[in-house]
Amino acid sequence: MMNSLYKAKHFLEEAMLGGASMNRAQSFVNESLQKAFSINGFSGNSYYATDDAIIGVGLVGNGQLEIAFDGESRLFGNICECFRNDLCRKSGLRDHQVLTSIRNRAFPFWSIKAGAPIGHRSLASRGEYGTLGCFLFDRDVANRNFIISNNHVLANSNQGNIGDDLYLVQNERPWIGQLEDFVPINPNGSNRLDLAIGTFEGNIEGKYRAIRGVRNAKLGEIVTKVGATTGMTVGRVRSLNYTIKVDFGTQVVFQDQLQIISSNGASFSQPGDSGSGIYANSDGSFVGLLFAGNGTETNANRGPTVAAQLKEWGYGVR
Amino acid sequence: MKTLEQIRKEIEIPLMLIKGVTGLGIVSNDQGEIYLEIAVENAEADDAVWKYLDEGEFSTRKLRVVHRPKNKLH
Repeated sequence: MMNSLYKAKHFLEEAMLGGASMNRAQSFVNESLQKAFSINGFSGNSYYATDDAIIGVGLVGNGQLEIAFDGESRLFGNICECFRNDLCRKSGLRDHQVLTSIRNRAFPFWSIKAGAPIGHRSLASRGEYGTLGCFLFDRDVANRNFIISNNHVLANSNQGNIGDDLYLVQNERPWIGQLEDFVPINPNGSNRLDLAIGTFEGNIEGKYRAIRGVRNAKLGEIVTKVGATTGMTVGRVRSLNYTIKVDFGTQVVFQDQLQIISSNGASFSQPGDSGSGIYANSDGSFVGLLFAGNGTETNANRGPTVAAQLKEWGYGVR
Repeated sequence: MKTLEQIRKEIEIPLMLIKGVTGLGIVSNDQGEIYLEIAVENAEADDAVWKYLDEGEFSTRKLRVVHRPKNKLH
């Protein structure tokens, strides 16, 4: 039986090492993880690499094989379980011989990916957070990067000042950058954006990096977001022009908003997911910036409105 | 005959001024039906909305009033 453990370990190492062309082990890992994504309702997902999802493998404890995954724990819990079942079937190992763990390798090195929990220093000090929606790259200055999220996440709902510190909200709360700009929320008039950007210093991970393509959403189309609270969820666009009142302490009106409903009965978003970029499943275009919800429906600024504001600030998006 | 979009534009501001109205917009449901939805928090807002719609002769079969909790920042 120990021989089977070694064989399985070498097999997964082969997948991790890769090569010029996809090897047998990589194919197995890819197929198994894609199937797991599909079973767990993430069909059509193309945003997560699969063959590089495994970041460690080794023999531990009393004859057990441990596989470490890089991922969001909320998402990867079920994914790991499905993968373990496949591996046991293939290798002849028993369930108790294979351990899986999730280690987001980004955090110890102050590297983050879109979907990470972030916030203005006031939010971070209270343990509150929103989501890092996506990154912007300065075309003129190398290594000058920006992050996109909401005013109420990065600028503390108009209370923040340009230059205020921004933090990754987790146990050690590392500093990640500063508030660069935001669209003020007008409490007495109509709003279309809950948008802010911050500077970012650190390493960027993951495949959801920059906005690549912006367009209006279509009524009924399927969209995906990755949020800091609920991870990756899939929803359906139910309205393109919803007008809503949102509780900012006082009721504030937003016009021309997208409204999205979960496609599988669970909530598309929950508190902490604000700032998530919303992408069309069909082509990966950025169609919205999540900012509010009522437990059933989720509201988002329209992608082209966000892009127009970024352009006005001088940051072009393709 | 007014289109849903024309009705939406006409009633948007007056309805959003009613206390307890949390939102409105043209929506598409799972079955592909398209209608104008008005979201309210409570029965008082529901009554006030229908009173406004009836008086303004905006009632249409493609208009629905639904009860929803307040929208909160996420």
